[in-house]
Amino acid sequence: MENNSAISVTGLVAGYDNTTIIDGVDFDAKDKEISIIVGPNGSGKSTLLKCMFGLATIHSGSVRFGSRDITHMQPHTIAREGIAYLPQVKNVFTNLSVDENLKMAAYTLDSKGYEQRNEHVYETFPQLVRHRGDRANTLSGGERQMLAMGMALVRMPQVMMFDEPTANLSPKLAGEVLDKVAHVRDSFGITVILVEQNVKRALAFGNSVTILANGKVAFSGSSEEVRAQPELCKTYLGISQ
Amino acid sequence: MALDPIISAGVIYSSILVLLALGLTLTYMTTRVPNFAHASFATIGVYIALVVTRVWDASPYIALPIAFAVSGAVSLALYTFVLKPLIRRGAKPAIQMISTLAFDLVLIAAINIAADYIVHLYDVTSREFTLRSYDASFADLPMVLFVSPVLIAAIVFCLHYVLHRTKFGIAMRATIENPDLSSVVGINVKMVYGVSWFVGGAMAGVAGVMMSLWFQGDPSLGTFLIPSIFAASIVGGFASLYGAIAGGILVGMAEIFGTRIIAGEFGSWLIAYRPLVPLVFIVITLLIAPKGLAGVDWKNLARRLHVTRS
Repeated sequence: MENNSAISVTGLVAGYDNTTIIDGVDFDAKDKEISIIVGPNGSGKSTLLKCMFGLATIHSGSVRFGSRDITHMQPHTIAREGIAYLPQVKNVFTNLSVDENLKMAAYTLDSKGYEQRNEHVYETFPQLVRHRGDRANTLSGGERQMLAMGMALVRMPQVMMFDEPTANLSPKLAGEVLDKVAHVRDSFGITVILVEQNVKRALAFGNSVTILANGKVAFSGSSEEVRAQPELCKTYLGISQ
Repeated sequence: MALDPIISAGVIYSSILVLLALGLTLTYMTTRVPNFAHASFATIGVYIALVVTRVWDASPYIALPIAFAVSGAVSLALYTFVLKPLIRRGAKPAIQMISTLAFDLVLIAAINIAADYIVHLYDVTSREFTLRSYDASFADLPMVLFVSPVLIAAIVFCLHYVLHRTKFGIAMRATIENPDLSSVVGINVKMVYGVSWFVGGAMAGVAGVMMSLWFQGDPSLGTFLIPSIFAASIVGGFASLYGAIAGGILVGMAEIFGTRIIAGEFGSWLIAYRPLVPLVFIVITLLIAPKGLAGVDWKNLARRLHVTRS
């Protein structure tokens, strides 16, 4: 099935201030699919994600969201366009309650329909219900990650970008989080871009994979293609099958 | 009714310090710039009170909303036209701090010019003046003695309500904690900063009107209060509005009552050293509790004290 691109990145050269970390990258995230970005530490995975959200310095190249050019937009404008970004750390407001966090996540939405979307979030993440009034710094690591995902979900974005959502989680919790990521795609038709270290697990439900090395694309193709090439898995992903 | 004037002095002075420390702490919490021009925002309030009473012949309390708006606008201008461009160019906090000092010099000069202009235009004294006679009285006591604590309570209540019950207020708390994540969820962080600078300056303007009813007015009045305002904020931890309230009361009371008690014990020559009180507070706080009152783990401290005693 041929899908349209939700986000397409062309000839991107980017970094922070004057440095260059991403060096000529093309990347496509297909509509309603999970696109996984993997690669060794320092390969520029997180930076690529940040470029798509206006959080890095883009020297040349372009980022398009559907038919719109978002290359030089501010993060808060991109958020309003319908893209949600979940940072790796500090992805919830620890001094705010769970309810307040969700309210802030929906900051740019009009209040109409908020209640309903709020209930959607609590249905998707039932473990958050009993913590509604609690400050987020009392939550466990897994619950925090669920809250961060709930904060993205409450906006019903077209695209959700995750930066290593399973880092520092136990294998069991990591599995739960990744299941929720798949659930978000399947139940709500949201396009997902996932930077992930837990490659083996991600490959199981990801649709396409981009491998970055030294700021360049080393491989790009479907999950099946990656799994069919043990050499590739060994060299870049450190997994043997 | 006989009331030791030192009690009036303590209440009024502490209230003024609380209001000034609240504004300074609010702007520091959001943008992380210690604003040395903050006290001069209060001096603007003093001069607005002068014009309202001496020129318009109206109640000094009419000056409250005007000072709120004008000082707020000047504070917003400092953020918008000086700090924001500097932050955009990647200026370090020290540079930003020095720019507030520079802004303060310009502001003091402007207030001096305004003071001269007031003399020229309306033929009223605009230096070393006092407006105490314009204050109403209640039970033979100056009205400002009652108005200042009530006003503080009202402002603190409003601030608390806004910060915890309104969407914009929660967004302010969110931005204070994590500006990056706030912009990720679509909060306009720069607007939140702008609002907090306006509110911080506006509170200083209100404090200025009350200062005009108690102190001798002068273009340099604010400058003399700077050490006390910073002491109150630092004692409070510079990171909590409730800390600023506690710090303001503590430093204010210590300056008034502490000086009196020490002078009573050792001789009145010590009164001249009152300006040392806030500095001593700053030094002690930074040495033993650098995060101020708000940063002290009181439960843990109480437990430890309990253990040591038993």
